[in-house]
Amino acid sequence: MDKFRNKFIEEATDNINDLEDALLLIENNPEDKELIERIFRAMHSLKGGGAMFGFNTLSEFTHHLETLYDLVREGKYKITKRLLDVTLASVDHMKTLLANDDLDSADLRTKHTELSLQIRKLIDNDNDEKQKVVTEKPQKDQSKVKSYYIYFEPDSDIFSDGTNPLFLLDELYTLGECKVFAHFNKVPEIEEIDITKCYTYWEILLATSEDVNAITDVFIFVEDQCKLEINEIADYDIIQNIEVINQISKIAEEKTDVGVSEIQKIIKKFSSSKKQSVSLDEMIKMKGPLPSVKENVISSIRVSSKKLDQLMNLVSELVTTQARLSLYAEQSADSELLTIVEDVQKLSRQLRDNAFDIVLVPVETMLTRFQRLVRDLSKELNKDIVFVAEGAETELDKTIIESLTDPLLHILRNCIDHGIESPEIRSKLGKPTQGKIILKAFYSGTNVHIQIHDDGAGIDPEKIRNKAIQKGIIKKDATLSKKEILDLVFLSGFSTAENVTDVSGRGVGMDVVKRKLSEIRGVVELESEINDGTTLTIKLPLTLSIIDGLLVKIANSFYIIPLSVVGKIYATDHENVVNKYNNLIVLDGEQFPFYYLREEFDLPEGEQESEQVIVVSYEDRKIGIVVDEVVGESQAVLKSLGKMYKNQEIISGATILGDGTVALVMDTNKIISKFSQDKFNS
Amino acid sequence: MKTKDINIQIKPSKKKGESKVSIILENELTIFSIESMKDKIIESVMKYDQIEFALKNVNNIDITFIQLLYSIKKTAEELNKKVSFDVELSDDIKSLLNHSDLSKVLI
Repeated sequence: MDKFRNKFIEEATDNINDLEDALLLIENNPEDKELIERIFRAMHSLKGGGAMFGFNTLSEFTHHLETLYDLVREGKYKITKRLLDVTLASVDHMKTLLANDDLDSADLRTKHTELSLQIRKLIDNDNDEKQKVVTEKPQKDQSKVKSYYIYFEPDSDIFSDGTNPLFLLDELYTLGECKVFAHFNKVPEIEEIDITKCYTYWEILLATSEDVNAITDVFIFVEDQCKLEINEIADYDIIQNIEVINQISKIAEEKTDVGVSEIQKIIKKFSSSKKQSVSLDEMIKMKGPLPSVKENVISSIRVSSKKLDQLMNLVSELVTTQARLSLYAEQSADSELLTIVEDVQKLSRQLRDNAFDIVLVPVETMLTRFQRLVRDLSKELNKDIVFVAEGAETELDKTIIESLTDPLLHILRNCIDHGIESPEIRSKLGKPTQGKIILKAFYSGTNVHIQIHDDGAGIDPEKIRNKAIQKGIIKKDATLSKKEILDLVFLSGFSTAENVTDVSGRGVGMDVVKRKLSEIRGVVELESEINDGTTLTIKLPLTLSIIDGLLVKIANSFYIIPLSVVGKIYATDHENVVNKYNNLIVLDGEQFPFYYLREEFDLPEGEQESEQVIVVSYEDRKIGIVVDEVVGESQAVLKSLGKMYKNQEIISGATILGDGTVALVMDTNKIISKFSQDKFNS
Repeated sequence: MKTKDINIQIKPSKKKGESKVSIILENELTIFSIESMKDKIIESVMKYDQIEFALKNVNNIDITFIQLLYSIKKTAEELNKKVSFDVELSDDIKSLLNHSDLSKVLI
């Protein structure tokens, strides 16, 4: 059963995240009924699943919250800041309960009691009268009572996601008088029974003054996991008619199903009341399509990340093997084999692209945490800040998203703590009192850019420079551009915060942010204007595991340059690149700075007459990289270089070529930045 | 999270010539615990002619357990065996079973 528990934990985590997301949205749209339903639905699922899978504390805790939001749903309780504060704190607590439902520590127990009391207080004190309405069974107005026949047959695998059908039947009793008939004729004999399956189904008679929508609402969370039929069978309470009930009970005991038509016949026989069944058209008008018949179409499935990682590894291996096959086919000069290999190559490329697509996750999956951080931290620091996200649908490799969240949280903390000023200061500066943080995500070629902009105080380059001198990071007479000064904040131990706070400014942070982002081949750029604000741009590759590259050769070694940075390739004479003191070359009438890699790699000068200059993009410039030979295009499956080489930066990994040779994958940004720094220092 | 296990005791009758067994089930009678005791129960159902279930100190009971009992009754009937129940349940559990018409299985 552990697999069911694990599945529940996965789904409960999704539900909690969804709940948090909806709570943050409702803060700005307190009247939005769809959001209230979303909140209620998430709570209901957590409660039901929790009870089903033994998370009783979580289930009970959520039950109280659900009671509170039932009042909201019924319009008897307004969404207030206090309500949201308590609910969001409860959401955090629910995350803890998911990992520790037994309340093992004293701190946890105290927190649990405090939050439960706050929820209780919100229900009792603030809504004394209203609470009664919810807990008491609705008083039936006999003149409005109607009787319904409900056929409820859960899917056999309904338990797998934690649904407990008994709670649904129990909930029907809150609507009015019920008579329930359980049917067990589908339960097999003991040798054949699968205990994880549901074989039982029910026929229910319900007399209620609530409308059909209220009945459908009871089954709203299982509408695609069951066969459900709801028919109005009388415009009065048939459960009070003992003859009718006895007759139906007798048939239910003798037969498998009674059925709506049989029940209608019995009602006709024992009463003169006219049957008023709701036609399908009327039902659709009232509620939209009835959830009575499940469509056998599965639009999406849940797959574990491990399986996706395995898929990506297999695709990587396929790409490597396919390269070997291509090489073998070329050498064999067998035309039929070559045709087959070309087809395999085409298919493996499509498979690779498809597999990539599967592991892409939208940026929006991170946003709830960011919104929550901005909300809570700005409140703690008495600042008024709004968080806006643009391009949240932009997708990135799931590994990148996972590694990106923490650095982004740190950057946002800095924006809130050091960037955005207090409302008083902003007002004095003539700015709107409410500060703004914008997170923008967008595609740029084969990269994704994520920009975080705040309209706060900005970074004073003079302050940075003085601090760097004071800390001995730069010399007093060092000549640095504004960009170079701003980049100093990414150095270890650098902090300009005058008061070190709990939030940020401990002097560790931006260097860690940069290092973490480098690990996923991300590049950070910082721009800032005093009083206008700061923009931090992170440039990320779409994926980490396979890249399209340009295979080049220097001396006897092969290297891969990512195709995404390659602009043009020029052939030039050997003498144009050797012993040039200014490292500039004119190609097609345009002047480019260049790096002769044989020289930079301390290799002996080659004997070839011509060299290849590969023009690559570096920040907003074009730089030439000189290699001996361009072999051709190659798909590179990135493999880590291992611990021995972890301190070098210019090679981001290695790949195996078709003939088994290892090629090193160059990080051209790092190469250019390192060699330009070396030249500058010398 | 602690796993709340079922507690099961199988007590065959000591009377000579009597093919009877008492199966005492306690605690968590749910989908999580049934798997572990299903085989033991089947073995007893097959072995003895009279099977007496005693449900005591039940914390939780769900439909999977009721279905299992129903299945046992169905099989026992086919094999001309006798199944009986001695049930002690809390009011909450009784109410849940009554509301879903499952309590009839325990008669």
